[in-house]
Amino acid sequence: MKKTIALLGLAMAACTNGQGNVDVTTSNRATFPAPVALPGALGQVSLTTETDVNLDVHRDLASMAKVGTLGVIISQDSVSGADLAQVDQVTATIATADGTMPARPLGRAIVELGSTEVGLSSLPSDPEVLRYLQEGPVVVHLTLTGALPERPITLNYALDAHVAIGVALSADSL
Amino acid sequence: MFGMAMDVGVPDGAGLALSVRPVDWLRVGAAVTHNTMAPGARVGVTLDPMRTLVGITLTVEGGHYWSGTVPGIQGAPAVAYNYANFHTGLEFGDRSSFRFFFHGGASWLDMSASASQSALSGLSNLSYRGWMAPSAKLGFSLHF
Repeated sequence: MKKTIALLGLAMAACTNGQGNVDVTTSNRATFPAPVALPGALGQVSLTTETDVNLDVHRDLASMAKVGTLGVIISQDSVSGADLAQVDQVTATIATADGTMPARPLGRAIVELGSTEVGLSSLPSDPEVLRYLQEGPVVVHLTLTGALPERPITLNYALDAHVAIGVALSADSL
Repeated sequence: MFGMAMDVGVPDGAGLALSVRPVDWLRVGAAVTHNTMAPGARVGVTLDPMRTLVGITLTVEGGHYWSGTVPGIQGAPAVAYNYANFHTGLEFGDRSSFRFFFHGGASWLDMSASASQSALSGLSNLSYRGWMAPSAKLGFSLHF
């Protein structure tokens, strides 16, 4: 796809001025270990488990950045799967894999009883998320809380972005 | 007066056109085209006001290319586009019979590409809309 982006750029001759658009989609299996108990009020016990999901789209974003200025809208940030029905709350943080950018909250959601898919409300701005994705491979740390089954849990995590590219290429920049 | 033309250029590709001249200074044409990826079609109007052996013309055209893959690239996405040319031209010869021409200017592109199944890199719905310059073509026309 990177070769195609480059070829399309060259095929568009010496100067181009316009807007490109592309959807970046990631979908990863998230396997959570068997949960541990958290003591709660009035003796209630809530279970929690957590796992890391690795995402790496920085090379594709770097290819796009060569042809123009990037703008991003996070179109989907969600967790899904049959095991989600027993989850009360999902929280996510994002950090670069090499630690150059520290972990910060990415999103959270309260899961309705019986739901198999939930969208995470976005906490940082979309441009801030883009900064993380452009920096390098990132780690999304997911935490589940609720009346979880005492076994490993498998869910699917999806983070999709619509990227707008403001193209202003000249012969000198190619 | 009817005629035909052949040309090659960017973003038009290669074209074979039929044209009609309702008046001496106006040429209206339609072409079938190919850009090495897919077939296309084009219609256009050329103002040709000078009855000289070297004429200056103005051409406005619109074209469409159906979806096709970039040859020689494995897993290439399918690309389709619409375009509009805004060209000035130099034409050499008798406008009532044979002419060789060169047209150049700018074009508006509306391009989209869809990723093939073998190109699963997480990118999809690639599109571009905007100007490109220069765009040009050269060819010849024959009227009878």
